[in-house]
Amino acid sequence: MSLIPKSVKMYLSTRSLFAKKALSVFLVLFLCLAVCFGQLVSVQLFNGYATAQAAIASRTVTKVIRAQRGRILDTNGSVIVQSVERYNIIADPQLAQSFVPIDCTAKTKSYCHQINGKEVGTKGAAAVARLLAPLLGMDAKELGAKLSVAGQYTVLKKNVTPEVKRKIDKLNLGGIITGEVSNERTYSNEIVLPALLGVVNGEGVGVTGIEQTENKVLSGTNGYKKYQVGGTGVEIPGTEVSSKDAVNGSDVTLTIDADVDWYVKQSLQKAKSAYKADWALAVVQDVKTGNIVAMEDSDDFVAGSSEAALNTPRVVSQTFEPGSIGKAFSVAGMLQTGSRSLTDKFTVADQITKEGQKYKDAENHSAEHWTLAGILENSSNVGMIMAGENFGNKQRYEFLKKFGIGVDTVGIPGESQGLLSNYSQWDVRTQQVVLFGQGYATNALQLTNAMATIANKGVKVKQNYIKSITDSDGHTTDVTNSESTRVLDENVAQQMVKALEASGSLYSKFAGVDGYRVAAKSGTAEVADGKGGLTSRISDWSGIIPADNPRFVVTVVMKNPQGTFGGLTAGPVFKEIASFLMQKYEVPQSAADPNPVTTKW
Amino acid sequence: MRTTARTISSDKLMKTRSTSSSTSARTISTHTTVRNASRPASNRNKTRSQNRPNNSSNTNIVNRAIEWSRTRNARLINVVVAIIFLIGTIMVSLALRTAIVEISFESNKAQNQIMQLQQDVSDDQAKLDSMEASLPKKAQDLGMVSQDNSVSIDLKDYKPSEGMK
Repeated sequence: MSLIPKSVKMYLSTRSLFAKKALSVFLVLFLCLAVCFGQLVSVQLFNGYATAQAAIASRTVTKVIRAQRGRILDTNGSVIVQSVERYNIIADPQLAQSFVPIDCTAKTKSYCHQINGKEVGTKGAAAVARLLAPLLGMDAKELGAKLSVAGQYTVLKKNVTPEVKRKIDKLNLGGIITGEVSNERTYSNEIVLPALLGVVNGEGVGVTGIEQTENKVLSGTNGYKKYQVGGTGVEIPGTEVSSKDAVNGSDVTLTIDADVDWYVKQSLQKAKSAYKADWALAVVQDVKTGNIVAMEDSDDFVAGSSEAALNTPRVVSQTFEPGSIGKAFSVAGMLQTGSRSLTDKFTVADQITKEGQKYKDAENHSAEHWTLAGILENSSNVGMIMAGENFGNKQRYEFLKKFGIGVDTVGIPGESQGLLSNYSQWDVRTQQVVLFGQGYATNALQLTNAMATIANKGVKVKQNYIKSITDSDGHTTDVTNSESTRVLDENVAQQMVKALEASGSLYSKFAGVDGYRVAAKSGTAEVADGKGGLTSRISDWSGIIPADNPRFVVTVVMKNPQGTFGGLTAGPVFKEIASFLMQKYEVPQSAADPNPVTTKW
Repeated sequence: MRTTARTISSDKLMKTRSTSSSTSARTISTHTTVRNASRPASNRNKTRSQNRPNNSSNTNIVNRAIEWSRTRNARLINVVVAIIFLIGTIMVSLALRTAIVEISFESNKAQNQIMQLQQDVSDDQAKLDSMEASLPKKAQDLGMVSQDNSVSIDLKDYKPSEGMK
């Protein structure tokens, strides 16, 4: 029962020992060859396709082509915010701890380690830290501590410039230190519009401000490239499987003029300091288009900071009673409804009692012979109550609403709409105080647009702070909303501008702009101080310039300034801003008014 | 059994060889007949035997190869051209592939450089924008003040000169 056939045995018996050995070796080799051949057949014929696919898959990589986030530009195309490529420096602490520096010789020149031509002098995490610290601008001990943790991944520093990254690459720390591409938002002028612009998070997603509201527009679409790589990581020619180009985010152009905005910011910060105010804010609006040219506050945090992320612009977040500026809207309503004319005559005392409620003017005065324009000029609360006899509660409410007070919004995150309760809910006192800007709350944008409605011949235009969107191909789409509503007849609006011009002229020494006629109204209101009292004050000023051919409305609001009256505190800030606007936009000077409104009788 | 098998195979081999040689001989003799027809019959065998030592061995091989090729349908030159072409294409393909790989490395290097330059341009642009935006502040720090009023010329009392009339 031997396994070897008899014929083979007979054949072997006739052969020498050497031949037998040779034959055995031959058989072994033949067996190996047969196995190899079998495997070859198996790989090439039966599993060939699957093996090739697996090999291709192992060589194939997908490289993400990052899309650039869009820029935010001012109305003149100057860049306010843009993205630049940065690197997050990542370390492998485990490798760093086992790092042994290589001394530099002629042979090791291309991969050795040294610091300013000297040996590193230590090894492990400390050596890596010593090499890296000067480039990252960090303390070597702090860096060493970060590299001494367990694990294989730790972020050493974020948003490192490409220049520094290239220097790190030359340290020959490949494998231990790597750079992950990231994007950083940079701001041309950090003090301009910090809260309005908002911030992006670590993933580049807008989380506050315009970055949030326009995130979809600003975000691009990442592309990719799928190809095979060789052992060195270099693309193997002709192996590209598929690719898709990245589409960069669109640029958002604001209606804001960065130069004006910066100037307004400077003026507000100076005024805050000069008048020792809690805060100050200002809005500049183009009368005809409704475009916001500037909206700033005195807050001094910088763009992109955590404060910028946590705060909203005061021009929309701060609501307040406008005080005497509200008289302008009441008088406009009286004229529009025909219940009064500007020349109606009144004898106005400094106090009045109505339905058991006592109302006083800001200053004591004897009985004055004022027209309705005179009441507005002298900002008399008593006069407003007298003039409002035929101007019902419903009309008072409806006109405030038509002007957008406590109603309109522009869509800025954190915007507060203010408060205008229905006239049916007004108590006896509120029914009267709404005539002179109390009993409701507004924000600075609403107040500015209400004044701009008067300036724009009675037509209220929707406010805009975003002008256009330009996609990555350069196509620009105008996104300004030109929606408009007529609130006042043109002649009523013109009368109102004249009345306001008389009112503004009262403070011409403080708030007048040389060469230009100004139609303005100042206001002062007591507001809650947060301690249950009404000791806090809002001083504001809203002016139309030039009054003969309105171009801009500028509103300035200050909280608790020393000087109290809006005309004496916010007025000078208006003067500074308005003067700058006239000079910058080369607005022709005003002609003298040949027919000023009558204020006394 | 073994002897029988060997005999059979030897016979087959012999048959094959004789068939092949007889065919070759037939063909060669035909050619020889044509070539030697102009010579005296007595010289024919002599000439054949004399020619061999006179030619170099290489020429002999080539002649034999040519002779052999004439027994085939394909001409030798075609075979040679085809082989040269095949080898040539392989060589060209290899050269091109080497060149592509080289270019790929260069392209990769160039792309990296482009990326670096784009980063630098982007960085420099951001710096430029920042410097432009900081101009007013720098002017202010230098003590410059913005003009309060717009420049205007009052032409109310303007009287054109005699020459202009």
